[in-house]
Amino acid sequence: MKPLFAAIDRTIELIVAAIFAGMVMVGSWQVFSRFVLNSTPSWSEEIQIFGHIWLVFLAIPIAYRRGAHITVEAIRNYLAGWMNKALDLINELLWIGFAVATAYYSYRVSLVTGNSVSPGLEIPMSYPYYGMILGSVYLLFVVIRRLAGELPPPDPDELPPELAAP
Amino acid sequence: MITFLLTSLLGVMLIGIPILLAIALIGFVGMAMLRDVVMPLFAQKMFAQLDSFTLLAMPYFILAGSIMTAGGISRQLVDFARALVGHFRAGLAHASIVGSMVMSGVSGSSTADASAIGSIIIPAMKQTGYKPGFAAALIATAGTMGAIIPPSMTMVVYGAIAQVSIGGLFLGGIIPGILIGLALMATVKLYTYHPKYPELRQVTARFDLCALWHSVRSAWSGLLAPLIIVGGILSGVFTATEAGAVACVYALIIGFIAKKITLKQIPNILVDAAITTSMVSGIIAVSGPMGWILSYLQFDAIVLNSVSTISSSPTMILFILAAVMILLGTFVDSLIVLLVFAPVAVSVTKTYGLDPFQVGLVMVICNQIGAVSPPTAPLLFITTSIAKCPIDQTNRHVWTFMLAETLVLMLVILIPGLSSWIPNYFLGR
Repeated sequence: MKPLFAAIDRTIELIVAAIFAGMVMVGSWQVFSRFVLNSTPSWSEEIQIFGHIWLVFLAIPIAYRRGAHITVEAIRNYLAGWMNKALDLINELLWIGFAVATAYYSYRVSLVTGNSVSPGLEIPMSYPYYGMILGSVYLLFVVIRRLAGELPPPDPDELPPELAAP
Repeated sequence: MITFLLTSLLGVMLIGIPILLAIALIGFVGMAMLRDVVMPLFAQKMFAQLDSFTLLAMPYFILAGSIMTAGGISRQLVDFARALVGHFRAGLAHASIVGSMVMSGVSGSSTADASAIGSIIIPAMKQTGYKPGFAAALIATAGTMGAIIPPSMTMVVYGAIAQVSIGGLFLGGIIPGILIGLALMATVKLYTYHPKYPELRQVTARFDLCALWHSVRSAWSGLLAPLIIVGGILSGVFTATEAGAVACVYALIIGFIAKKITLKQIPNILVDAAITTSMVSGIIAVSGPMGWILSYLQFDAIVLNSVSTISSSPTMILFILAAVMILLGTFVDSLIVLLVFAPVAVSVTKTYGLDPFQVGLVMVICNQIGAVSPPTAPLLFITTSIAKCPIDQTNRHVWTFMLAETLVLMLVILIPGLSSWIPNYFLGR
């Protein structure tokens, strides 16, 4: 199973990188086309916004996997070992709750908004919600793996440089 | 109910639940407590919070900063700053301030600034005999310029929520940001007279025009970046978001030409920047449901009413708002304070006819002072771990620098023109 999980993790990371690269290209194309071609594409702002939503919800699990989410640790240092363990378990359960709630309610909204069409791209308004659903399902998958002990604890060396220091 | 929600938010965060989860939980519970709310609104409000083109400036400036940092920009900028002011007394301290200032024009985040500049200059300062706590406190406070001198992620967040032009906020940050730098340099100057800081009276380098020229030649791409960003917004060539996308492409091209970045590094740089983005944008997304609840319960009107019973002068109101934000920012993560109080700031702006850029700048500076005020100060944690000293040594020194920044904040409150003149002149509201 391990190689398969690793492949899934890497695929999600590459999707995130591709979305980000695409957003930057569309964003600079927007400036270029306004000044050189004298026309602003109607779809460019919308595709960047939808890309950002996909990017955020797919990267939240990656940040979780690497232990990057901002946490106030001050009180934790004064607690006994078993209390910290209990709080860690509560954390994981809350992550599961967040993932399930986001996935389910995004799905419910996507059913309704699927009938209307976005003004710029003219695609169903359910498409951005699919990113929220996919991201939350992946989050659920990652949290369950950590609870099952399959996922190693977060490694500070894997953090982006500006977050790695503390 | 507001009191219940906000105190439980505080409680949940303090026991070490990640901030993103804590805010999501409060929004969720709040919505569940209101009988007439359909729960899919929870997802819809998260979407609505991110459904903003102006907010996109944040991921772009995060990415541009990561690309430039991978290309070694921070070392070049520090070398430039040392060549420029390194010959002063306490030259390294002054160079760290100037270096942070220039770096602020490239990166939009105070944490990125403090860690990039700190990891280069703090070891050098320790070698010269500086007290590690002093160095850590100074670099952390200088790092706050990252969020005040354009570009700035904090301003993007505030502007997107408060519906204030982000380009205007960027331009408004120029004068206050430079003033903070000067105030910090003046503080260092005062320290050189302190009998317990003999290391600050040493002159360790001589001014060398040749070296300065050399450093400009190697750091030109970093020095040019702020000019492109600010110049582009000033002249109306592009919006703040577009400036971010252009900055990414600029950083990439420079990195490739200088052979500092290889094609192979790109995916990992993108993923790293995406993680940072998701942490901030994720908190913004989940603040959608919570913000909706707070405005449903008319939180901003309640705060405004209780504040206006104390005084009716707009300046006084700004002082009170600033004091409350800084006080809360010392205990709570300052991003949350900003998210909760942005709607209040909007009502204050409208009710008292204040300039939106001035109010925005006051909010951002308060947010940054909160980020260096112990006990919960992310910037101090970063620089202290670089300086490898006990945190109370840093805390002992940070007060003087915070005082300097607070003085600048007071000037920004008392003289609206400092933050509103440039944006209103160039963007011609």
